[in-house]
Amino acid sequence: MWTVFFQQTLNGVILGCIYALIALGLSLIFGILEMANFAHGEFYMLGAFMALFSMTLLNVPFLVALVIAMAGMALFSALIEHFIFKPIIGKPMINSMLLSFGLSTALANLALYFFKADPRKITSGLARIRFNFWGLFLTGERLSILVLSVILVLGLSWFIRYTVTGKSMRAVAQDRTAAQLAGINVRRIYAVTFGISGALAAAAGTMVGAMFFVSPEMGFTVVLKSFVIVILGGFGEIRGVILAAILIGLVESLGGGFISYAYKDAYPFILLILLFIFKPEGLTGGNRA
Amino acid sequence: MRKLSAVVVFVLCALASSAAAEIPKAPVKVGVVLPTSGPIAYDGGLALNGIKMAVEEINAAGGIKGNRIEIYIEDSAGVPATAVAAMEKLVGMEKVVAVIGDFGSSCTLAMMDVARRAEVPLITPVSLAPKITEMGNIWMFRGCDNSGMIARAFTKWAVQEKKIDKWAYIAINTDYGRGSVEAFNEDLKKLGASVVFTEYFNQGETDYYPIVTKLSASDANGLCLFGETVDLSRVVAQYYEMGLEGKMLIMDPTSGTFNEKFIELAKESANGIVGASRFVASIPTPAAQKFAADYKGRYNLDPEKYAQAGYDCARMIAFAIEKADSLDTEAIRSALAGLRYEGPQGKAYFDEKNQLIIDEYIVAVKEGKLEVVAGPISAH
Repeated sequence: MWTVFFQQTLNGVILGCIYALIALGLSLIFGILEMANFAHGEFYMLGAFMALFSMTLLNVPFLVALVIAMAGMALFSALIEHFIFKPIIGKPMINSMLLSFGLSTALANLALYFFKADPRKITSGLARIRFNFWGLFLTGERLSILVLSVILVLGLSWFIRYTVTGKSMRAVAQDRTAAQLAGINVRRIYAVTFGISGALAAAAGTMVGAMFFVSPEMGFTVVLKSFVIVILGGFGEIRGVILAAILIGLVESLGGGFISYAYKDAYPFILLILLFIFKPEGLTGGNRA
Repeated sequence: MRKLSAVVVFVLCALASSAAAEIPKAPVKVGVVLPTSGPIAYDGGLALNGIKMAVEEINAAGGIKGNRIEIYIEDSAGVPATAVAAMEKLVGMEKVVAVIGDFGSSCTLAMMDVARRAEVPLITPVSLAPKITEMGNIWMFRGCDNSGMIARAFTKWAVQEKKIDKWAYIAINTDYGRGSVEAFNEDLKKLGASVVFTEYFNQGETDYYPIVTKLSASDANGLCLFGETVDLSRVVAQYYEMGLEGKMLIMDPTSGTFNEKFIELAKESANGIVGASRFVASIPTPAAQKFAADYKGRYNLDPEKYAQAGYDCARMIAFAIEKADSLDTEAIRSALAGLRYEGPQGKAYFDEKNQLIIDEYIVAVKEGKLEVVAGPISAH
């Protein structure tokens, strides 16, 4: 019984790590550009396809494909920011919601047209490596997700805390006009934010593609869940988002395992409703204005 | 004079006998309604392959008492309204004496009323919905097995031969998934086996770890799956990731996974999954092997259950017309209802509800190919 509980907990944490990578990008864009990007799920899907094609067409190993996907999506996202989102920065939230929703539909359908609907799998070669710690099962793939997410999250925190660009990002998030007056190139910060967000989504997409499948519609369900996580964690809060992501992963895994699997997609939303009732300021919030 | 009268008697007799064989010297018209366009066109085409092969064989052997069979093919595109229009055209304009069709149950259900009104026998080679033969329409025949028969044959084999007495289900959260679980539970109860685990998933789900983790703690010795190719390939892959290999017999009685896409997605995890099917190309009987070789020679493709059913339905219609010795549709209907048929799959006959009674085979994937593990098993 305890083995099952710990296994479900482990499953939940790994799921949470993936959610964290996706939701962090969404949260950054929300915090810095004050935009809701519904096309974020499609960034994640395109990243997965990039990794898949790097592996099948260029024959590169899994880790190289992951880097290619992250770099490719960073560039792609920055371009999307430049050509599509730029005109509506600073406008009311509804603009970005509608625009990104349209972008999401367009990207998903283009992917469907070009890549076809049948799902494909990224063969990382790590799934066959299986670990058994005191009865807890873990494949090489899942272990690498755990390790990689920790590295990426730590890297992101370090970047935002200590680099000049990172500090500028925080400054823009706090007060755009003041940052601009202080001489920060706000345009560049926007592009960098989108780039980081796209790269994180691509990393998550690649790992999910290896664990499960790559398909054009994979982004759609994920983006709604990510919004729940961003709301739970507090907008723009790295620590809060990570906590919320792992919480959602655990709720799905334990709820699916011990209550009913058929309704597992409902649990995150139930959690969100409870949060709105009992702690409307967010999980880690409370002392923000 | 005596000689002459003998000749006259002989001629009269000959005339009389030819008058008794009511089939006029003209092609016998048989209609076919199958989806040859749309999403299930490929599968519909397989059934059509079988029908064409049967008709060509019969015509090459002299037809029905010297009359060629001519088939009139209409495309239903898998749409009930189109299927009904096709059926109306066949019985109204082409005046066919029998119709083979359709693929999807909803199309067949829609065509049944036309068959009854026009009093033309209709035989489906594919549609599984139990309702089709439960509605008391005497003009409707099901020329293949149904889900209840598959459940009976499969549970009998699994419980009695493989001693699977503690069942676990992972099934899709739809009418099909929940309905199949209910049907199987009834048969399992009769056989004295118990169900220790039942979980449903929604179509398109990716992460099955919560289910397989929970499953690892159950004492089931058989895992029964109901679903579609892609979802089930994830379930099976994650089942293996969880280290459950060899713990249970993996069963896919409705053969949702027995196709090339599944084998491509699940890779070696596909090996050893057992299912039930009325026909696979590797059935070792001479009749099945001859059919498989002839079919492969013609289409360069291994026959599967759709081609087999198309072949059998066309032949059963031809034999019924021959037996009825008439183009009267009522005579053909009653001849078909009383037919004793033997095809590549085995012996077959219609029960009082016009449901074809045939045997089932237990099949398993081995090295990417379907093999017969047991059978034939009576579905009664």
